[in-house]
Amino acid sequence: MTNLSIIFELQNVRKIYKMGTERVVALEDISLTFEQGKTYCLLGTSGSGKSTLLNLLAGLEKPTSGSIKFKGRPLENLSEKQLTLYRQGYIGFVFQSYNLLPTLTALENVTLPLIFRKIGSWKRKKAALKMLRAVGLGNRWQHKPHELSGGQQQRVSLARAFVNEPQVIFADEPTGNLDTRTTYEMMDLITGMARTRGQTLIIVTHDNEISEYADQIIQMRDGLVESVKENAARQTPVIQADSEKNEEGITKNEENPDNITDNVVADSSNAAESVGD
Amino acid sequence: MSIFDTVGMCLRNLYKRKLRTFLTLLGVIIGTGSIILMISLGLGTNAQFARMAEDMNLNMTEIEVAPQWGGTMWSPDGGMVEMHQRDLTDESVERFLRIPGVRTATPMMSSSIMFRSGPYTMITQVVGVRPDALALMGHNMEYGRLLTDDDAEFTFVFSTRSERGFFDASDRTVWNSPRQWDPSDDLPTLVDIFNDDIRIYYDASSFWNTRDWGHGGNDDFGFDLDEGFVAARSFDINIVGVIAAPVVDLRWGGGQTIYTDIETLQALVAMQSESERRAAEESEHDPRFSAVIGGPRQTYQDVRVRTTSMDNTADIAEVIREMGYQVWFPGDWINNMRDSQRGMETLLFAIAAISLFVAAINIANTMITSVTERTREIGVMKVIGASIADIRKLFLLEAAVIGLLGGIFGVILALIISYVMNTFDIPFLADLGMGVPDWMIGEERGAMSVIPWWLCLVALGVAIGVGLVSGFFPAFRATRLSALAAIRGD
Repeated sequence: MTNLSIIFELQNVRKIYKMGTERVVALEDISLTFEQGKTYCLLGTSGSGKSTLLNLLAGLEKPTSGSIKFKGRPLENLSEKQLTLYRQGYIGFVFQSYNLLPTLTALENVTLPLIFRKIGSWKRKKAALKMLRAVGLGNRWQHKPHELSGGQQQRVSLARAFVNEPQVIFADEPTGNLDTRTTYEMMDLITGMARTRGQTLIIVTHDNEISEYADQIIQMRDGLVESVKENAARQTPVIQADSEKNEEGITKNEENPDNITDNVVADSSNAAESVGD
Repeated sequence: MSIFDTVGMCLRNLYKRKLRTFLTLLGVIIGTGSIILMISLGLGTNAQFARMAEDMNLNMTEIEVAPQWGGTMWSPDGGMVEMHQRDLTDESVERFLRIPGVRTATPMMSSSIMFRSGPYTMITQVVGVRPDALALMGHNMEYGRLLTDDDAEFTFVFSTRSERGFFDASDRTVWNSPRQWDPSDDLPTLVDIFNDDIRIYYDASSFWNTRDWGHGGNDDFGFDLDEGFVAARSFDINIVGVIAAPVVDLRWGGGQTIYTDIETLQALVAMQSESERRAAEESEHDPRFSAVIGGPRQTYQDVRVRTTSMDNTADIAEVIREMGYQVWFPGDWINNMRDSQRGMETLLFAIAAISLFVAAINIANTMITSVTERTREIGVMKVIGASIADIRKLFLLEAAVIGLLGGIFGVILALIISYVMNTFDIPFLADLGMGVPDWMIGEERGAMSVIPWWLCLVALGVAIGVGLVSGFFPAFRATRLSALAAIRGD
């Protein structure tokens, strides 16, 4: 019954926080489906429940009731160990405040998810360098985060999210700390990369302009989905790793997008099994 | 996360917080170093005591048994105790020999015997033992051999300094300052004990009776020595060996003891008493001597028991004490002395242990600070795929590395201080009652502080263990941190 193109399926998801004696309803009743390879935007003001929803999808929290299925497997049944494997193998995360480890260089920050997956030193450095080139920071790999601008740090963070070749990328207000020009660059880069690689991208934002980059805009208010609308006139990425376009080109040649998709599909069947176990 | 990556990341984190790491390390260094030093002082003192016992020829397996005199005595707790008389006889020696763990037992008696060689005379105590027991008493030989059961009567074993007892009786100055108390090593040898003819004179009374006591005030004692030696009966003796002197001897005139078969000595004493009795009967008919000679059985003043190992010496001594005899053994004496020192050592060790405990608290405190500080970092790592085990490993390893580094530098510090203590005389250690008292030490004192390699390894292990234990709670806290709470608060 599992539709391979459906990556997340939410049914009557409720999330209630207990703050002392008070109960705060963060998500009232959410039922949604997310399809593979599409870009989504969770749009809403603060307190609308959009971030909570993101955390539930990323397996950082469990719903109070209802079910979240990742490729047909309910996330809420996974053990802590299985959730770790899920985060290692299937998702990437981009934070508003970049959250790079200050003691590590750009390259080391990007290799971190691979370190947790016990990938060998040489292999992971190669992968990380390739990803840094993809985000246009190929010549900055040895810099520490404090030596980079905000936009550059967010690019490193982007590379870190993509380096695992995950199936889903979560971006929580990815441009919240960036200026307007950099915001557009960043959005072009992130949506472009996700589309090229056939990955599902879920962006959380309160910014209507940003939501224009998505295929589907999910408007949220007070823990409920207010509207879901297809965005036919979505913005196509115009700028793509401007400074190192050539290198990106080479990367493209090396990595045929079709192959990636194949890999993902092949991977997903294995992965779904291992997650389910 | 592989172990190499974990180690790399943890070293990086420690290096990032250099000052804090250094201060935490300092605590561990001092704690580990002082514990090693305190143990090394105890080991050093142990070695010194063992060496002292060896130097003094104190055999830790020897028990000296003396008869118990009857009568009322003060007991150690203040009251009066009635003691039953207990004589040492051949039967008691047989009883001692039957106690499990006893290697040998021998009655020991000593008597004053006169030796004579050429113009020189020696009047000295001769110790009579059973020949088989003497062999088991652990003497080092300088020449020759010890006694055997097959030796003829009047076979003797001398000691290195026995010869010093000989003196020229006609030289009055020697009477005032006997050679045998002279500590110098280059005294002229008067008698060559192996080549010169030596005789013993057993009936001293005949000898002394030739003295004409009537000529009072005469400088050369008023009698002709040669005349005395002619009158007294004598035996030729055979000397088969010389016992090497102990390096340190607690008794005066050490290294001069002369041994012979106890039966020879008993016979000599009997003959001597007999001759004295006759002399007494001839003059005053003194009844005392007939009582001694006519006694039904031989009693001893001293029996020496050797045990198979120093571990059971105290127990066997207790068994003999319960039989009603008085016992004394060097092990007892040394143990008492060692015990009084252990008090000080234990106190110092406790202080060192406290400093290590404080270091452990310090590690825990540093690690908790570190966890709090890195809350967000931990959260991010969890979100991007770190498992709970990874986080725990990371913090546990950090604490363990602090322990290991502190342990390594602590060992180095202890080795340096130990070297300084052993190279230079540190007076305060002796004041604290550490080490063997100076007057009991031979030529070389030996190291004050001894650090064997196993102590270094144990100390490293303990330091790592302290780190791990201290890091356990902070690491647990780190794993309990919610990834969400960690990345929130932008």
